[in-house]
Amino acid sequence: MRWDPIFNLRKGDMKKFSKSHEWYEPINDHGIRIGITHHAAVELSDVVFVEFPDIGKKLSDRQSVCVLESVKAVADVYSLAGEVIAINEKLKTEPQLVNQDPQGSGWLVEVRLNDMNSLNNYMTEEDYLEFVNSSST
Amino acid sequence: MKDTFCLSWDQAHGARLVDFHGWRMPISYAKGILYEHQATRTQAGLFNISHMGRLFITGNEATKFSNFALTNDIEALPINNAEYGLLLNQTGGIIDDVIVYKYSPHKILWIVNAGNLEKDLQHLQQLAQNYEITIQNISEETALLALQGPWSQKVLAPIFEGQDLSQIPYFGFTEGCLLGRHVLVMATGYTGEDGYELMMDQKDAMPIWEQLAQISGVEPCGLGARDSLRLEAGLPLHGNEMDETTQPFEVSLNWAVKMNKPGGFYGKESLKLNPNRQLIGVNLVNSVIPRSGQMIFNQDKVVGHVTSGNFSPTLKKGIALGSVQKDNLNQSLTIEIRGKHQPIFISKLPWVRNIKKKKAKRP
Repeated sequence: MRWDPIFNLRKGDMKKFSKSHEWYEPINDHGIRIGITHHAAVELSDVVFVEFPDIGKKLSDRQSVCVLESVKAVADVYSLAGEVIAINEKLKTEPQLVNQDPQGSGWLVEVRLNDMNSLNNYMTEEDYLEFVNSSST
Repeated sequence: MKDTFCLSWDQAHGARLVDFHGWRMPISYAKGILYEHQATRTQAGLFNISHMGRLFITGNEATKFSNFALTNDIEALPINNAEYGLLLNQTGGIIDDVIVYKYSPHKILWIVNAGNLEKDLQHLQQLAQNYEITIQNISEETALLALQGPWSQKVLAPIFEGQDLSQIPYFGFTEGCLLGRHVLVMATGYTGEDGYELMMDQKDAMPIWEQLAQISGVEPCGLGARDSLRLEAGLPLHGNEMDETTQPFEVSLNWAVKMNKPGGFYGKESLKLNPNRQLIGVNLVNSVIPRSGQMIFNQDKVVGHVTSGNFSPTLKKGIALGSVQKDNLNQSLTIEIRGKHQPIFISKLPWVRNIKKKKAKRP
């Protein structure tokens, strides 16, 4: 349904990354899946609770879409402008997936974007990793 | 930034280092806070707590002086035992909370909070003017470790030469040899578990740490687990539950204040006996995690605040210590978390206490 096979084949290449350590992955021609990066998951340490938005919530650009609570800290996860269409229900009972597989089964929410072109403002994985390495030294 | 003896070991073992009161300390090692917390509850956690301050107070009036400086009764404290006490300023505010270890009436070890050491020293030097005592700061030439959890005794006993560790009461201490090195072994801790704190010469700390860390079942832990363990144990932290503007009775530390001891104590005259505030334990109804600084409400009125809050790995939900106005205790209260009023109920303290050792009798 939501999975466009053409996009699906290419999705590995299509993840975009933010300086605030989110990844945005197109799931079809109008929506993205959002999660946090490996780097962010390590920094945050054990995530014990995810505060999700209501389905249908309207988001402006760079608005917090959900909150991750770890034993160490609280972190906001930021979205692009759009509307929440799904949340990762599994995390309600298994929040540890965010640490175990942050860029896969530990995804957080799916958002229908107002403008898919807004993804172009974000980094490729390669550029993101370079950004992380240069800011940690 | 100050470093302890352990820095290079920490860096080689995946420590996530943070600034804690000017000390570069691990918040956790590679396996993370939750793992370290559980290891301490079920086996044994090894903590480097060398950032804490250590003072010797010696001289003919060491006991008399400590007794006047602290709220608890140090005269009545038997030798080879320790006591928790509060150091007050003139207005009854809490400068620090400390544990003192009585070697003899003339020699008392004080262990104080890392961030308060300088302040404590200044205050004590002022108080000391009329006493025949010497204050010696031994923080730099010594190190302090903690081995906490149900396996602590069976880990330590085979490598310790000295008194039978099972005979040391809770809050008792003894001197002996650990792996051929002189140590002070104290049956104290900050986790709600039986365990020991170990003081040794700085130069002996790394060999002891390394050998302890290698023992199967012993898990090196950082300050993150130390904090979640102490919170579950309902133990207050200076800077969170109390500070120089907080009086002992406002944070339910009545048990550590001996109003009737002979000679009194510094700050006593300023204490309000029935303040309209107390420290409470709070459980959350929903799966949210309270954090320090969040406000506690009765309807739409602020009646207190969270002093420490976190996820409890044992209860698998959010818990908090909070300071509230007493006349609201029978009301239904909420904590405001990110704009939402989350219902809470007051919990008996502590949430976790697995200490089986008993304290020695006080006369």
